[in-house]
Amino acid sequence: MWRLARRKRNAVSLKPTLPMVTVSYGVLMFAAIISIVPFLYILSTSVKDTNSLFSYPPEWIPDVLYWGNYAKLLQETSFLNWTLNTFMIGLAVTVLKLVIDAMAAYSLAKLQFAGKKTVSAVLLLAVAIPVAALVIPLFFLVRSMGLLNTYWALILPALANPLGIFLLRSFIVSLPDDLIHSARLDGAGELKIFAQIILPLIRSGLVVHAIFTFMLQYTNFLWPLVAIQSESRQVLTVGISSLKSNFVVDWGLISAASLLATIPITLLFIALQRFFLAQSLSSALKG
Amino acid sequence: MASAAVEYRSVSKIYGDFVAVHNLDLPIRHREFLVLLGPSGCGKSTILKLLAGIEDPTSGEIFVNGNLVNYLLPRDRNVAMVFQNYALYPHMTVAENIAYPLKARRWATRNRTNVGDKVLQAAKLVEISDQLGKRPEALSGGQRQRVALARALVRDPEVFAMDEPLSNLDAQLRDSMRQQLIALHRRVGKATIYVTHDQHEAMTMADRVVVLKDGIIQQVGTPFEVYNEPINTFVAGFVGHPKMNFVPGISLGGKSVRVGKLDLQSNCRTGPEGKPLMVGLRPTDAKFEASLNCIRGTVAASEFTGADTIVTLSTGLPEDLRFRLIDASSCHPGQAAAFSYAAEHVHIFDQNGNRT
Repeated sequence: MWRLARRKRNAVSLKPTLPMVTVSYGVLMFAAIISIVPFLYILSTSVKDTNSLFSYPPEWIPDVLYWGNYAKLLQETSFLNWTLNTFMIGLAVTVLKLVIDAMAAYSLAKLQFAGKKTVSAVLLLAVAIPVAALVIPLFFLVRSMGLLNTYWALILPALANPLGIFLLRSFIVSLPDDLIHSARLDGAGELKIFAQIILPLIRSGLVVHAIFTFMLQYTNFLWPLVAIQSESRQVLTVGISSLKSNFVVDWGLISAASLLATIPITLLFIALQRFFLAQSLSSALKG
Repeated sequence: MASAAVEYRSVSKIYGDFVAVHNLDLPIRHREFLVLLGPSGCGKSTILKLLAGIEDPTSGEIFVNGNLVNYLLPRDRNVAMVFQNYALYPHMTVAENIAYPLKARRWATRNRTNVGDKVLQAAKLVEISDQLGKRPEALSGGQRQRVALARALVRDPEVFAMDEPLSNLDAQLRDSMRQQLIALHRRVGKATIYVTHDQHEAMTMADRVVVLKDGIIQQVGTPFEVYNEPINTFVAGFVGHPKMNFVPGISLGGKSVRVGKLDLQSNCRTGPEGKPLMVGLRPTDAKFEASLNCIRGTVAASEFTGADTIVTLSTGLPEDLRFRLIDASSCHPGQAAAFSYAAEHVHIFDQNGNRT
């Protein structure tokens, strides 16, 4: 189609043709519908009572909005407790990971020390190991430390994921060495350089890393299922799945819980999305 | 006061198989403006980094004001450095950039004085005091360079190290900054080591020039000495624009040399008769007249540069010779021309390229 446009105008033009615009919009709309339909279905289900759930033909918007699912969720389950646990663990892991990963990334990117290449290689290897393969050895390790069924069981293993180190390292590597040399000559020690020069300059990287880490924790299911037995210490993902009993599945209740669970993470993403945009734009401009 | 502000004693820096600096012995006097001049990769920036503590020497000792600094951290060496790319902290304002060395050293607490006054003082010295609230991204190249200078000045160091600080500026700004740097050096009166590959900068700014090649000092001297009495063909070729003409010759004994069919008189001894030599003739020393040491040929090209004209002359020698003339109005391609050299301007080098 590009070629067609060029031929017709007898000049190099990057202006898209009408059919191309139509096809592009069509594909984008289809993708948008595919993404939004499950969300709308959950929203619809969460405001239906049990009887109207399976009515035929299915009702997208029920005649009467039923808020009982939300009331039951907040009053009869530990939903608020799970949310609090999830936020607490998510925040703890995010803060600790930012500190540890940024320090490790700085040392790997800018400092010289013996065994640096080996450390990098081992970390890279650790990224390649799937989480599922680690669950059983991790279970025995955490049990031997006496940390099963504690918040530490959810926080400590999450800190060992080295992916963030490589993410932040790529940000730090791009900073000129002379900035660090200059700071050293100006009288700053390594900690001051890290805190006053490096961290402010990789702010967008830190935000991206924070969002990824928090979202990963927020949506983590397998490890909390294995490591936490007590309902009061459970996180949202496992808590919501436990709403499904052996005999009855209360879809309205589960939908209400799922919908409420998505709200905080959506708000967080909307609030911080400019950092994502800034990052992707800057990489585009760097060429 | 120690006899030298800075002294390198047998300093070498080796990276794997690559010798960046070889056995450097160099004292830098108090209040001196010393320029390290050489092509890329000659080790001049490494010499500066060794002094600042950014790199550690493989061997040798470095003294600042008589104190051995090899084992001191960069911050304790009392050396301020201005980097080629300015190295300003982009997230800080101009005032915060200038104040950073004082804050990092807790200067205000130690001296019970206001950091702001010191910052303003330094900013006024480099005429940047009206830009204190701006971030570096909002400044021009020249202004950024001034901020970098103010940051170096603010802590009153013993030595200034400048690594090609003007190379990122346009030609006009470079000229004006060069003059301001010299004036600033005179006012501050501290030893300054200045790295550049620009011979014009070196010649106009330096008290002494150190010409380097492959990590080895070729010559140390005043700009006049380096230009008029180059110690070898490298220095002779590197310093001066257009580049010195080199033609092979044979000694006629005494102070005479034969180049092709031409006999030239020099002020240098040429050694025993028949000895192969290299004759150096600066394009700028030629006189457009037929007198002593006359070189005749045909004008092959004439390049008008504004202030002068570079004339290329075919003489029958293996390579054409170039001459710089202020007035070349009667020197057109295809015409016959004759240039002459005073004996003191005929440089003689031996087979190894060293001045005889």
